[in-house]
Amino acid sequence: MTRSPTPIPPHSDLASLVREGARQWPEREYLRDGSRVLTYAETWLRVACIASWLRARDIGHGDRVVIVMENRIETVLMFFAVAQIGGIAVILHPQMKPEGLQRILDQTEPKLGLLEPATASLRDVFGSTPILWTASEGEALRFEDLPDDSQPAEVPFPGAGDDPAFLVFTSGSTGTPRGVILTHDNVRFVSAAIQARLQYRPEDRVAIFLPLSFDYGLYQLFYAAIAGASVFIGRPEMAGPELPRILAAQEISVLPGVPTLYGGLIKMQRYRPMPLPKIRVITNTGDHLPQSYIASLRELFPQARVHPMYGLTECKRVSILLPEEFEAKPESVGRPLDGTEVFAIDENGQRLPPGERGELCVRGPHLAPGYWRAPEETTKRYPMLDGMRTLRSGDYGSVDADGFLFIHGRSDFLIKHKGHRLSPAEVEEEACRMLGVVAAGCVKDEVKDLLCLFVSVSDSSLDESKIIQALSVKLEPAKVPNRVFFLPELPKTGNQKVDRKALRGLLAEQ
Amino acid sequence: MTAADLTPKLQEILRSKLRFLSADAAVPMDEDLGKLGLDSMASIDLLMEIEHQLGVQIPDEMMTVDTFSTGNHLLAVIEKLS
Repeated sequence: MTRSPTPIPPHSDLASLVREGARQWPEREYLRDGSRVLTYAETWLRVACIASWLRARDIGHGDRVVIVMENRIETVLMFFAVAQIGGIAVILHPQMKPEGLQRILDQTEPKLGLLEPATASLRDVFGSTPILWTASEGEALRFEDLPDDSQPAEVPFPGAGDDPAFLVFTSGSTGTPRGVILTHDNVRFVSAAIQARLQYRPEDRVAIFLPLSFDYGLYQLFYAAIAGASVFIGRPEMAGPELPRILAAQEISVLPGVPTLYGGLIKMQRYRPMPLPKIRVITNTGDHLPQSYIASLRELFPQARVHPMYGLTECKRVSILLPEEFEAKPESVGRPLDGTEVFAIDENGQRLPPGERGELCVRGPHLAPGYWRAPEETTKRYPMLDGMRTLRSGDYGSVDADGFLFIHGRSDFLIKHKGHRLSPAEVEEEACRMLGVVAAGCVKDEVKDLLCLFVSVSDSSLDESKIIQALSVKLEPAKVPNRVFFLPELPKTGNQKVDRKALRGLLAEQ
Repeated sequence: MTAADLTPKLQEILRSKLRFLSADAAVPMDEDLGKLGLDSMASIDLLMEIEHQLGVQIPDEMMTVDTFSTGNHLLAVIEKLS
């Protein structure tokens, strides 16, 4: 059954998602975390109270609020309250290191920080910035002590649609983290376009296991609010052996994840099958979802619509594949969102014809205005091409004649080896197709001029020569690794991608 | 297996899964395993190794974030089972 997406006013502020939800379906559940449940009306009431408190502390239009907490309902409430007052929320990963946090605080100069016991060690980095504490006894300023009026004074949204609503920090090309600026308009446009493809329903319960500092986790709040659905605020550490139980207990129907989450779930169900809920929608981003995973997910969740997708924070989402398109285009990450455009360019910036590989470029109302206080990097990443503002993705791919996108590798990580340009992703994917290989990461040992593959395996009888032999059947000779190293677990980035930089670091030790 | 035998065996298994733990450091039993480098995928491997090597089966209702949060929490669960 197809439904048209809920119509949304094109220029409204982000907090209106909750405000409108509270008006249209006040009694529906919006947030839950395993012990607490908040309806849309209750959520809005809390958000309005916090917004009013922020204003009373002279925090308002354009001011930054930095949140460093594990996934919590409080994070969500503060996030929307900051949006309501026209401020700029910055949600950071709870495992942030002091050095990294310092660089972000230097850039953002927040008026308020949010911490909790798990992130208390970062207190000193905030210096004289006031801290609001969650779940911490004995602190002067506690979230639990915020005013809880039944009729808080409404703070009207003071800004415009093209004002920044929040920043998402990503690792920049220089090593300094860069904050992608997302505006209210950016988010409203892209959320509606995504919901048009994914079609969350009012009866859905969406699970967030990804950190809210990762935009893919955060945006689930928006899609759910558009549909009037409920969100379970989970945590990354729940994606281990306990995941099947949590999915069942919380009656999850929409599961957004990254390949490692699905890899774990598949592994766990093979090891010890447990009852699973009827999951209706599965989406993947962050890294390539191997076809073997898609097949396994379809077995585990026969009712599920599985959506491979592609995106980058700089525009949030680029493309989504529909399950009915999968048979014809199994390797595709789908078509661009409606109202947006994607094409590939060559090294000279010239647009390539359909099917030819180059750097993928994106246009549309979802393009972020740029990086926070980084005009040079912004201009580099969002140049004018043929007179139109364009996002250079840095990823290497093609768009076929039917408009479907294919990713052939992250060009930031292209490997040149023996005169060939090769994509480590291709080698990794081929390795992951082998029975017994759990994860793979491919890097070049520039010193020894060797193509190296790191793998973790579930089959201990696999050895280096077996893997190399098997890959030599599947890959062109230049793409077959020279060496294979075994690790119990591959290092991953904060976004759950295989951390090739860390693997290169390991090479020095081999 | 006695409780005294159990601790070193569990520590040995833990060591292989805690990638942030240096080789010459003792396995801290009260520290958060996540901080020691145990991510969700590794915790699945940890479960498998524990069940395989220690000959126990952790029942479904004990598969919680809390069980896998520290070495001592795991030890308490395993002791109850063996």
